[in-house]
Amino acid sequence: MLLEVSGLSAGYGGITVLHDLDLRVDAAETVGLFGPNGHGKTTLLKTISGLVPARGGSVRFAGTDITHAKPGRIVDLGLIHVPQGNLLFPDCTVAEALALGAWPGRARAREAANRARVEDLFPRLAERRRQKIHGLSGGERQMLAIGVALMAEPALLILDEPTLGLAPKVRGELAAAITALAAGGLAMLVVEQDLRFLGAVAPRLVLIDRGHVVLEAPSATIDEDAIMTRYFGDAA
Amino acid sequence: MSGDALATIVVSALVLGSLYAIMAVGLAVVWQALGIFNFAHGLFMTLGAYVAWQVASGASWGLWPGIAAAVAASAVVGAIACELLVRPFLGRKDVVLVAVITTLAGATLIENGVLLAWGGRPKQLPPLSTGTVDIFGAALSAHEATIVAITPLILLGVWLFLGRTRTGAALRAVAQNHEAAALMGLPAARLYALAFALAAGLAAIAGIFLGAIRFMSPAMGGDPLLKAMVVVIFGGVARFAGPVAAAYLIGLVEAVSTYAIGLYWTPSVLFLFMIGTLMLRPQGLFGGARR
Repeated sequence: MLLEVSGLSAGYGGITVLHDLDLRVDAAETVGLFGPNGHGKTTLLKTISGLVPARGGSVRFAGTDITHAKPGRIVDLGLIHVPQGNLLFPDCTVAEALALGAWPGRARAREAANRARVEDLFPRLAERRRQKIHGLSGGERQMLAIGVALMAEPALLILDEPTLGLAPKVRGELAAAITALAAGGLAMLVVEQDLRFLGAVAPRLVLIDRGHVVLEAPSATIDEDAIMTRYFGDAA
Repeated sequence: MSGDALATIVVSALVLGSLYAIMAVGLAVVWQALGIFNFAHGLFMTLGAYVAWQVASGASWGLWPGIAAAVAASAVVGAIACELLVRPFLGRKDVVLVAVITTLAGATLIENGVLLAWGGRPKQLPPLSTGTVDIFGAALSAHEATIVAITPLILLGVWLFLGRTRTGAALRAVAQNHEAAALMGLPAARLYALAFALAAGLAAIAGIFLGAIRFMSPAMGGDPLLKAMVVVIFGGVARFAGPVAAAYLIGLVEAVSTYAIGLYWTPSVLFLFMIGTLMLRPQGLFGGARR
Protein backbone atom coordinates (compact mmCIF):
# COMPACT_ATOMS: atom_id res chain seq x y z
CA MET A 1 0.00 0.00 0.00
CA LEU A 2 1.36 3.40 -0.98
CA LEU A 3 -0.71 5.76 1.18
CA GLU A 4 -2.58 4.70 4.28
CA VAL A 5 -4.62 7.23 6.24
CA SER A 6 -6.07 5.78 9.44
CA GLY A 7 -8.42 7.42 11.89
CA LEU A 8 -7.23 10.88 10.87
CA SER A 9 -8.68 13.98 12.54
CA ALA A 10 -7.69 17.55 11.80
CA GLY A 11 -9.12 21.04 11.84
CA TYR A 12 -8.54 24.73 12.39
CA GLY A 13 -8.86 26.48 15.76
CA GLY A 14 -11.93 25.22 17.57
CA ILE A 15 -13.36 23.48 14.51
CA THR A 16 -12.67 19.86 13.69
CA VAL A 17 -13.03 19.27 9.96
CA LEU A 18 -11.89 15.66 9.60
CA HIS A 19 -13.30 13.01 11.92
CA ASP A 20 -11.63 9.62 12.21
CA LEU A 21 -11.06 9.37 8.46
CA ASP A 22 -9.66 6.30 6.69
CA LEU A 23 -8.32 6.27 3.14
CA ARG A 24 -5.83 4.20 1.18
CA VAL A 25 -4.16 4.45 -2.20
CA ASP A 26 -2.33 1.46 -3.67
CA ALA A 27 0.71 1.63 -5.89
CA ALA A 28 -0.09 2.69 -9.48
CA GLU A 29 -3.71 3.31 -8.45
CA THR A 30 -5.74 6.45 -9.14
CA VAL A 31 -8.33 7.30 -6.53
CA GLY A 32 -10.97 9.97 -7.08
CA LEU A 33 -12.14 12.02 -4.14
CA PHE A 34 -15.36 13.97 -4.25
CA GLY A 35 -18.00 15.46 -2.02
CA PRO A 36 -19.71 18.74 -1.27
CA ASN A 37 -17.59 21.87 -0.82
CA GLY A 38 -16.49 22.63 2.72
CA HIS A 39 -16.63 19.01 3.85
CA GLY A 40 -12.92 18.45 4.30
CA LYS A 41 -11.42 17.34 1.00
CA THR A 42 -8.85 20.12 0.81
CA THR A 43 -8.15 19.85 4.55
CA LEU A 44 -7.52 16.12 4.11
CA LEU A 45 -5.00 16.77 1.33
CA LYS A 46 -3.28 19.53 3.33
CA THR A 47 -3.06 17.27 6.38
CA ILE A 48 -1.53 14.49 4.29
CA SER A 49 1.11 16.83 2.84
CA GLY A 50 1.95 18.38 6.22
CA LEU A 51 0.48 21.87 5.80
CA VAL A 52 -2.23 21.29 8.42
CA PRO A 53 -1.23 19.44 11.62
CA ALA A 54 -3.00 16.17 12.33
CA ARG A 55 -4.88 16.04 15.65
CA GLY A 56 -5.27 12.29 15.76
CA GLY A 57 -4.76 9.16 13.74
CA SER A 58 -1.89 8.50 11.36
CA VAL A 59 -0.69 8.94 7.80
CA ARG A 60 1.74 6.40 6.38
CA PHE A 61 3.39 6.84 3.00
CA ALA A 62 5.47 4.11 1.34
CA GLY A 63 6.02 2.48 4.72
CA THR A 64 7.05 5.67 6.53
CA ASP A 65 4.98 7.42 9.19
CA ILE A 66 4.53 11.01 7.94
CA THR A 67 1.73 12.04 10.33
CA HIS A 68 3.79 14.83 11.85
CA ALA A 69 6.47 15.24 9.14
CA LYS A 70 7.27 18.66 7.67
CA PRO A 71 6.16 19.39 4.07
CA GLY A 72 9.77 19.36 2.81
CA ARG A 73 10.39 15.86 4.19
CA ILE A 74 7.15 14.60 2.63
CA VAL A 75 8.19 16.05 -0.74
CA ASP A 76 11.55 14.29 -0.39
CA LEU A 77 9.70 10.99 0.04
CA GLY A 78 7.92 11.56 -3.29
CA LEU A 79 4.45 12.65 -2.18
CA ILE A 80 3.71 15.75 -4.25
CA HIS A 81 0.60 17.86 -3.67
CA VAL A 82 -0.65 20.37 -6.25
CA PRO A 83 -2.91 22.69 -4.25
CA GLN A 84 -6.20 24.11 -5.46
CA GLY A 85 -5.89 27.17 -7.72
CA ASN A 86 -2.09 27.11 -7.45
CA LEU A 87 -0.80 30.54 -8.46
CA LEU A 88 2.83 29.39 -8.26
CA PHE A 89 5.32 32.28 -8.44
CA PRO A 90 3.97 35.17 -10.56
CA ASP A 91 7.35 36.87 -11.06
CA CYS A 92 9.26 33.73 -12.04
CA THR A 93 9.40 32.27 -15.54
CA VAL A 94 7.91 28.96 -16.63
CA ALA A 95 11.42 27.49 -16.97
CA GLU A 96 12.37 28.67 -13.47
CA ALA A 97 9.26 27.11 -11.93
CA LEU A 98 10.05 23.79 -13.61
CA ALA A 99 13.64 23.98 -12.35
CA LEU A 100 12.34 24.64 -8.84
CA GLY A 101 10.11 21.59 -9.18
CA ALA A 102 13.29 19.54 -9.41
CA TRP A 103 14.51 20.94 -6.07
CA PRO A 104 14.53 17.55 -4.23
CA GLY A 105 17.96 15.97 -4.60
CA ARG A 106 16.61 12.67 -5.93
CA ALA A 107 14.93 14.52 -8.88
CA ARG A 108 18.09 16.25 -10.12
CA ALA A 109 19.70 13.40 -12.03
CA ARG A 110 16.79 12.99 -14.46
CA GLU A 111 15.83 16.66 -14.63
CA ALA A 112 16.35 17.07 -18.39
CA ALA A 113 14.40 13.89 -19.18
CA ASN A 114 11.56 14.94 -16.88
CA ARG A 115 11.44 18.38 -18.46
CA ALA A 116 11.17 16.82 -21.90
CA ARG A 117 8.37 14.58 -20.61
CA VAL A 118 6.47 17.55 -19.15
CA GLU A 119 6.83 19.59 -22.33
CA ASP A 120 5.70 16.58 -24.30
CA LEU A 121 2.60 16.28 -22.11
CA PHE A 122 1.90 20.04 -22.21
CA PRO A 123 3.42 21.45 -25.44
CA ARG A 124 2.12 24.93 -24.51
CA LEU A 125 4.61 25.09 -21.65
CA ALA A 126 7.46 24.61 -24.10
CA GLU A 127 6.20 27.59 -26.12
CA ARG A 128 6.01 29.76 -23.00
CA ARG A 129 9.28 28.65 -21.41
CA ARG A 130 10.70 32.16 -21.00
CA GLN A 131 7.43 33.88 -20.05
CA LYS A 132 6.60 35.07 -16.56
CA ILE A 133 3.94 33.06 -14.79
CA HIS A 134 1.66 36.06 -14.15
CA GLY A 135 1.08 36.25 -17.92
CA LEU A 136 -0.22 32.68 -18.22
CA SER A 137 -3.89 31.77 -18.67
CA GLY A 138 -5.66 29.77 -15.96
CA GLY A 139 -5.33 26.56 -17.95
CA GLU A 140 -1.63 27.09 -18.68
CA ARG A 141 -1.02 27.81 -15.03
CA GLN A 142 -2.70 24.56 -14.04
CA MET A 143 -0.63 22.70 -16.64
CA LEU A 144 2.49 24.30 -15.19
CA ALA A 145 1.46 23.40 -11.64
CA ILE A 146 1.15 19.74 -12.67
CA GLY A 147 4.38 19.98 -14.69
CA VAL A 148 6.24 21.41 -11.69
CA ALA A 149 4.94 18.51 -9.59
CA LEU A 150 6.08 15.97 -12.21
CA MET A 151 9.59 17.49 -12.13
CA ALA A 152 9.84 16.23 -8.53
CA GLU A 153 9.41 12.62 -9.70
CA PRO A 154 6.31 11.91 -7.62
CA ALA A 155 5.55 8.44 -6.29
CA LEU A 156 2.08 9.77 -5.48
CA LEU A 157 0.61 12.86 -7.12
CA ILE A 158 -2.19 14.69 -5.33
CA LEU A 159 -4.31 17.03 -7.46
CA ASP A 160 -6.86 19.33 -5.80
CA GLU A 161 -9.55 20.29 -8.33
CA PRO A 162 -7.20 20.59 -11.33
CA THR A 163 -9.96 21.77 -13.67
CA LEU A 164 -11.55 24.31 -11.31
CA GLY A 165 -12.82 27.36 -13.19
CA LEU A 166 -11.42 26.31 -16.57
CA ALA A 167 -13.13 26.44 -19.95
CA PRO A 168 -14.44 23.10 -21.29
CA LYS A 169 -11.75 22.90 -24.00
CA VAL A 170 -8.86 23.35 -21.58
CA ARG A 171 -10.61 21.03 -19.14
CA GLY A 172 -10.57 18.37 -21.84
CA GLU A 173 -6.85 18.87 -22.46
CA LEU A 174 -6.10 18.51 -18.76
CA ALA A 175 -8.33 15.46 -18.44
CA ALA A 176 -6.46 13.82 -21.32
CA ALA A 177 -3.10 14.60 -19.69
CA ILE A 178 -4.21 13.28 -16.28
CA THR A 179 -5.60 10.13 -17.89
CA ALA A 180 -2.30 9.63 -19.70
CA LEU A 181 -0.41 9.99 -16.40
CA ALA A 182 -2.68 7.40 -14.77
CA ALA A 183 -2.25 5.05 -17.71
CA GLY A 184 1.52 5.46 -17.34
CA GLY A 185 1.29 3.91 -13.88
CA LEU A 186 1.55 7.02 -11.72
CA ALA A 187 -0.41 6.73 -8.48
CA MET A 188 -2.74 9.69 -8.01
CA LEU A 189 -5.27 11.06 -5.58
CA VAL A 190 -7.54 13.46 -7.45
CA VAL A 191 -10.21 15.77 -6.04
CA GLU A 192 -12.86 16.90 -8.50
CA GLN A 193 -16.46 18.08 -8.52
CA ASP A 194 -17.09 16.79 -12.03
CA LEU A 195 -18.06 13.15 -11.46
CA ARG A 196 -17.93 12.18 -15.11
CA PHE A 197 -14.37 13.50 -15.36
CA LEU A 198 -13.41 11.77 -12.14
CA GLY A 199 -14.99 8.47 -13.17
CA ALA A 200 -13.02 8.55 -16.41
CA VAL A 201 -9.62 8.97 -14.67
CA ALA A 202 -10.14 7.05 -11.44
CA PRO A 203 -11.31 3.45 -11.23
CA ARG A 204 -12.16 3.87 -7.53
CA LEU A 205 -14.12 6.78 -6.06
CA VAL A 206 -14.35 7.94 -2.46
CA LEU A 207 -17.12 10.26 -1.27
CA ILE A 208 -16.34 12.53 1.68
CA ASP A 209 -19.19 14.12 3.56
CA ARG A 210 -18.94 16.16 6.80
CA GLY A 211 -15.36 15.01 7.33
CA HIS A 212 -16.13 11.28 6.99
CA VAL A 213 -15.73 8.78 4.19
CA VAL A 214 -19.34 7.84 3.52
CA LEU A 215 -18.99 5.83 0.33
CA GLU A 216 -16.19 3.97 -1.39
CA ALA A 217 -16.85 2.10 -4.61
CA PRO A 218 -15.56 1.31 -8.10
CA SER A 219 -16.52 4.26 -10.28
CA ALA A 220 -18.53 2.05 -12.64
CA THR A 221 -20.99 1.23 -9.86
CA ILE A 222 -21.44 4.80 -8.63
CA ASP A 223 -24.96 5.97 -9.20
CA GLU A 224 -24.73 9.56 -10.27
CA ASP A 225 -28.36 10.26 -9.42
CA ALA A 226 -27.92 8.99 -5.92
CA ILE A 227 -24.94 11.30 -5.52
CA MET A 228 -26.87 14.26 -6.83
CA THR A 229 -29.59 13.48 -4.31
CA ARG A 230 -26.96 13.57 -1.60
CA TYR A 231 -25.72 16.96 -2.81
CA PHE A 232 -29.00 18.65 -3.55
CA GLY A 233 -31.73 16.62 -1.81
CA ASP A 234 -34.57 14.81 -3.51
CA ALA A 235 -35.57 16.16 -6.89
CA ALA A 236 -39.22 15.60 -6.17
CA MET B 1 32.35 74.50 -15.48
CA SER B 2 35.93 73.42 -16.10
CA GLY B 3 36.79 69.97 -17.38
CA ASP B 4 38.43 69.28 -14.05
CA ALA B 5 35.22 69.98 -12.19
CA LEU B 6 33.24 67.81 -14.56
CA ALA B 7 35.68 64.94 -14.07
CA THR B 8 35.44 65.38 -10.29
CA ILE B 9 31.66 65.19 -10.43
CA VAL B 10 31.65 62.12 -12.67
CA VAL B 11 34.18 60.29 -10.51
CA SER B 12 32.33 61.18 -7.34
CA ALA B 13 29.01 60.10 -8.89
CA LEU B 14 30.46 56.73 -9.91
CA VAL B 15 32.01 56.07 -6.50
CA LEU B 16 28.83 57.02 -4.64
CA GLY B 17 26.68 55.12 -7.15
CA SER B 18 28.80 51.99 -6.64
CA LEU B 19 28.38 52.16 -2.87
CA TYR B 20 24.65 52.77 -3.05
CA ALA B 21 24.14 50.07 -5.68
CA ILE B 22 25.80 47.43 -3.51
CA MET B 23 23.81 48.53 -0.46
CA ALA B 24 20.50 48.80 -2.34
CA VAL B 25 20.86 45.41 -4.01
CA GLY B 26 21.24 43.88 -0.52
CA LEU B 27 18.02 45.56 0.59
CA ALA B 28 16.30 44.35 -2.58
CA VAL B 29 17.46 40.74 -2.11
CA VAL B 30 16.03 40.66 1.42
CA TRP B 31 12.82 42.29 0.22
CA GLN B 32 12.43 39.78 -2.60
CA ALA B 33 13.03 36.75 -0.38
CA LEU B 34 11.21 37.84 2.79
CA GLY B 35 9.03 40.80 1.88
CA ILE B 36 10.49 43.03 4.60
CA PHE B 37 12.85 45.97 4.82
CA ASN B 38 15.96 45.41 6.87
CA PHE B 39 16.90 48.46 8.91
CA ALA B 40 19.94 46.67 10.33
CA HIS B 41 21.45 46.61 6.83
CA GLY B 42 23.71 49.62 7.50
CA LEU B 43 25.14 47.89 10.55
CA PHE B 44 26.35 44.94 8.49
CA MET B 45 28.35 47.54 6.61
CA THR B 46 29.77 48.92 9.86
CA LEU B 47 30.51 45.46 11.16
CA GLY B 48 32.25 44.49 7.94
CA ALA B 49 34.46 47.58 8.03
CA TYR B 50 35.47 46.97 11.67
CA VAL B 51 36.17 43.28 11.23
CA ALA B 52 38.28 44.12 8.16
CA TRP B 53 40.13 46.76 10.20
CA GLN B 54 40.71 44.32 13.05
CA VAL B 55 42.24 41.70 10.78
CA ALA B 56 44.07 44.05 8.40
CA SER B 57 45.31 46.80 10.74
CA GLY B 58 44.71 45.50 14.26
CA ALA B 59 46.33 42.12 13.69
CA SER B 60 48.36 43.21 10.63
CA TRP B 61 47.40 40.15 8.60
CA GLY B 62 46.86 42.17 5.45
CA LEU B 63 43.83 43.63 3.69
CA TRP B 64 42.69 40.60 1.68
CA PRO B 65 42.35 38.27 4.67
CA GLY B 66 40.58 41.22 6.31
CA ILE B 67 38.11 41.44 3.45
CA ALA B 68 37.45 37.70 3.54
CA ALA B 69 36.95 37.76 7.30
CA ALA B 70 34.69 40.82 7.07
CA VAL B 71 32.41 39.29 4.43
CA ALA B 72 32.24 35.99 6.31
CA ALA B 73 31.57 37.61 9.69
CA SER B 74 28.87 39.91 8.29
CA ALA B 75 27.21 37.03 6.46
CA VAL B 76 27.11 34.90 9.62
CA VAL B 77 25.78 37.76 11.76
CA GLY B 78 23.26 38.48 8.99
CA ALA B 79 21.96 34.92 9.01
CA ILE B 80 21.73 34.99 12.82
CA ALA B 81 19.92 38.34 12.72
CA CYS B 82 17.42 36.87 10.25
CA GLU B 83 16.80 33.88 12.50
CA LEU B 84 16.37 35.97 15.67
CA LEU B 85 14.90 39.26 14.47
CA VAL B 86 12.74 38.39 11.49
CA ARG B 87 11.85 34.73 11.10
CA PRO B 88 9.86 34.42 14.35
CA PHE B 89 7.49 37.09 13.02
CA LEU B 90 7.08 35.92 9.43
CA GLY B 91 3.52 34.93 8.65
CA ARG B 92 2.05 37.67 10.84
CA LYS B 93 -0.10 40.15 8.96
CA ASP B 94 1.88 43.10 10.36
CA VAL B 95 5.29 41.52 9.71
CA VAL B 96 6.51 44.50 7.66
CA LEU B 97 5.95 46.85 10.59
CA VAL B 98 7.22 44.39 13.20
CA ALA B 99 10.38 43.82 11.15
CA VAL B 100 11.03 47.57 11.06
CA ILE B 101 11.06 47.59 14.87
CA THR B 102 13.02 44.36 15.36
CA THR B 103 15.67 45.17 12.75
CA LEU B 104 16.04 48.70 14.19
CA ALA B 105 16.50 47.08 17.60
CA GLY B 106 19.11 44.78 16.09
CA ALA B 107 20.83 47.77 14.50
CA THR B 108 21.06 49.50 17.90
CA LEU B 109 22.49 46.37 19.49
CA ILE B 110 25.13 45.88 16.80
CA GLU B 111 26.06 49.57 16.77
CA ASN B 112 26.62 49.62 20.51
CA GLY B 113 28.38 46.27 20.32
CA VAL B 114 30.81 47.80 17.82
CA LEU B 115 31.24 50.83 20.10
CA LEU B 116 31.95 48.55 23.04
CA ALA B 117 34.39 46.36 21.13
CA TRP B 118 36.32 48.98 19.19
CA GLY B 119 35.58 52.29 20.93
CA GLY B 120 34.48 55.56 19.41
CA ARG B 121 37.83 56.76 18.11
CA PRO B 122 37.76 57.13 14.31
CA LYS B 123 39.66 54.49 12.37
CA GLN B 124 40.56 54.12 8.74
CA LEU B 125 41.07 51.10 6.53
CA PRO B 126 44.00 50.82 4.13
CA PRO B 127 42.95 51.43 0.49
CA LEU B 128 42.28 48.52 -1.86
CA SER B 129 45.15 49.79 -3.98
CA THR B 130 47.51 52.71 -3.47
CA GLY B 131 48.51 55.64 -5.67
CA THR B 132 46.49 57.57 -8.21
CA VAL B 133 45.13 56.84 -11.64
CA ASP B 134 44.72 59.36 -14.42
CA ILE B 135 41.40 59.14 -16.24
CA PHE B 136 40.35 61.85 -18.69
CA GLY B 137 42.70 64.26 -17.00
CA ALA B 138 41.24 63.73 -13.56
CA ALA B 139 43.47 62.34 -10.88
CA LEU B 140 41.54 59.55 -9.24
CA SER B 141 42.77 57.60 -6.23
CA ALA B 142 43.51 54.02 -7.16
CA HIS B 143 41.17 52.95 -4.36
CA GLU B 144 38.23 54.79 -5.93
CA ALA B 145 39.14 53.48 -9.38
CA THR B 146 39.08 49.96 -7.95
CA ILE B 147 35.64 50.56 -6.44
CA VAL B 148 34.26 51.84 -9.73
CA ALA B 149 35.78 48.94 -11.65
CA ILE B 150 34.90 45.97 -9.44
CA THR B 151 31.39 47.02 -8.39
CA PRO B 152 29.88 46.11 -11.77
CA LEU B 153 31.57 42.70 -11.50
CA ILE B 154 30.10 42.14 -8.04
CA LEU B 155 26.67 43.23 -9.24
CA LEU B 156 26.97 40.97 -12.28
CA GLY B 157 27.82 38.06 -9.99
CA VAL B 158 24.77 38.70 -7.80
CA TRP B 159 22.58 39.11 -10.88
CA LEU B 160 23.78 35.81 -12.34
CA PHE B 161 23.26 34.06 -9.01
CA LEU B 162 19.69 35.37 -8.63
CA GLY B 163 18.68 34.97 -12.25
CA ARG B 164 20.57 31.95 -13.49
CA THR B 165 20.80 29.48 -10.62
CA ARG B 166 18.20 27.26 -9.05
CA THR B 167 18.99 28.59 -5.58
CA GLY B 168 18.62 32.16 -6.84
CA ALA B 169 15.23 31.37 -8.33
CA ALA B 170 14.21 29.72 -5.05
CA LEU B 171 15.23 32.88 -3.14
CA ARG B 172 12.95 34.96 -5.32
CA ALA B 173 10.14 32.38 -5.36
CA VAL B 174 9.75 31.70 -1.66
CA ALA B 175 8.18 35.05 -0.74
CA GLN B 176 5.80 34.97 -3.70
CA ASN B 177 3.88 31.91 -2.53
CA HIS B 178 4.73 30.33 0.82
CA GLU B 179 2.34 27.41 0.42
CA ALA B 180 3.50 26.44 -3.08
CA ALA B 181 7.14 26.79 -1.97
CA ALA B 182 6.54 24.49 1.01
CA LEU B 183 4.74 21.92 -1.18
CA MET B 184 7.73 21.88 -3.56
CA GLY B 185 10.13 21.21 -0.72
CA LEU B 186 11.90 24.59 -0.83
CA PRO B 187 13.66 25.06 2.54
CA ALA B 188 12.21 28.48 3.44
CA ALA B 189 14.17 29.06 6.66
CA ARG B 190 17.50 28.31 4.98
CA LEU B 191 16.62 30.49 1.98
CA TYR B 192 15.72 33.41 4.27
CA ALA B 193 19.00 33.05 6.12
CA LEU B 194 20.86 32.86 2.81
CA ALA B 195 19.20 36.08 1.56
CA PHE B 196 20.25 37.87 4.75
CA ALA B 197 23.77 36.43 4.58
CA LEU B 198 24.16 37.51 0.95
CA ALA B 199 22.87 41.02 1.70
CA ALA B 200 25.11 41.34 4.77
CA GLY B 201 28.15 40.11 2.84
CA LEU B 202 27.50 42.75 0.18
CA ALA B 203 27.11 45.42 2.86
CA ALA B 204 30.47 44.38 4.33
CA ILE B 205 32.10 45.02 0.95
CA ALA B 206 30.47 48.47 0.85
CA GLY B 207 31.85 49.08 4.35
CA ILE B 208 35.36 48.21 3.21
CA PHE B 209 34.98 50.57 0.24
CA LEU B 210 33.82 53.40 2.48
CA GLY B 211 36.20 52.70 5.37
CA ALA B 212 39.19 53.75 3.31
CA ILE B 213 37.54 56.94 1.98
CA ARG B 214 35.99 58.33 5.14
CA PHE B 215 36.77 57.71 8.77
CA MET B 216 35.05 54.74 10.30
CA SER B 217 32.76 55.16 13.29
CA PRO B 218 30.15 52.88 14.83
CA ALA B 219 27.49 55.09 13.20
CA MET B 220 29.06 55.00 9.72
CA GLY B 221 26.34 52.76 8.26
CA GLY B 222 23.49 55.18 8.90
CA ASP B 223 24.00 57.58 6.03
CA PRO B 224 24.61 54.94 3.31
CA LEU B 225 21.56 53.01 4.54
CA LEU B 226 19.43 56.14 4.27
CA LYS B 227 20.69 56.72 0.72
CA ALA B 228 20.08 53.07 -0.16
CA MET B 229 16.52 53.46 1.13
CA VAL B 230 16.08 56.47 -1.15
CA VAL B 231 17.47 54.34 -3.97
CA VAL B 232 15.06 51.45 -3.47
CA ILE B 233 12.06 53.76 -3.06
CA PHE B 234 13.20 55.40 -6.26
CA GLY B 235 14.13 52.37 -8.32
CA GLY B 236 11.88 49.74 -6.83
CA VAL B 237 12.96 46.37 -5.50
CA ALA B 238 11.05 44.00 -7.74
CA ARG B 239 13.65 43.94 -10.47
CA PHE B 240 17.42 43.87 -10.21
CA ALA B 241 18.13 46.67 -12.68
CA GLY B 242 15.81 49.15 -10.90
CA PRO B 243 17.84 49.75 -7.75
CA VAL B 244 21.16 49.57 -9.64
CA ALA B 245 20.18 52.26 -12.14
CA ALA B 246 18.63 54.36 -9.37
CA ALA B 247 21.80 54.03 -7.27
CA TYR B 248 23.99 55.55 -9.98
CA LEU B 249 21.38 58.26 -10.63
CA ILE B 250 21.21 59.18 -6.94
CA GLY B 251 25.02 59.16 -6.86
CA LEU B 252 25.03 61.61 -9.76
CA VAL B 253 22.45 63.90 -8.16
CA GLU B 254 24.42 63.87 -4.93
CA ALA B 255 27.70 64.61 -6.72
CA VAL B 256 26.24 67.49 -8.72
CA SER B 257 24.48 68.91 -5.69
CA THR B 258 27.59 68.65 -3.51
CA TYR B 259 29.60 70.51 -6.14
CA ALA B 260 27.01 73.15 -6.99
CA ILE B 261 25.14 73.68 -3.72
CA GLY B 262 27.43 72.24 -1.10
CA LEU B 263 27.57 69.29 1.26
CA TYR B 264 25.25 70.84 3.82
CA TRP B 265 22.15 71.08 1.63
CA THR B 266 22.74 67.94 -0.41
CA PRO B 267 20.55 65.58 1.69
CA SER B 268 17.67 68.05 1.33
CA VAL B 269 18.21 68.18 -2.42
CA LEU B 270 18.13 64.37 -2.58
CA PHE B 271 14.89 64.13 -0.68
CA LEU B 272 13.33 66.96 -2.70
CA PHE B 273 14.36 65.11 -5.85
CA MET B 274 12.81 61.93 -4.50
CA ILE B 275 9.58 63.55 -3.35
CA GLY B 276 9.25 65.40 -6.66
CA THR B 277 9.75 62.20 -8.64
CA LEU B 278 7.30 60.23 -6.52
CA MET B 279 4.65 62.94 -6.99
CA LEU B 280 4.98 62.48 -10.74
CA ARG B 281 5.55 58.71 -10.71
CA PRO B 282 4.20 57.18 -7.49
CA GLN B 283 5.25 53.70 -8.63
CA GLY B 284 8.92 54.75 -8.69
CA LEU B 285 11.11 55.44 -11.66
CA PHE B 286 11.27 51.92 -13.09
CA GLY B 287 7.87 50.48 -12.34
CA GLY B 288 8.66 49.92 -8.69
CA ALA B 289 7.65 47.13 -6.34
CA ARG B 290 4.52 45.20 -7.06
CA ARG B 291 2.87 43.06 -4.37
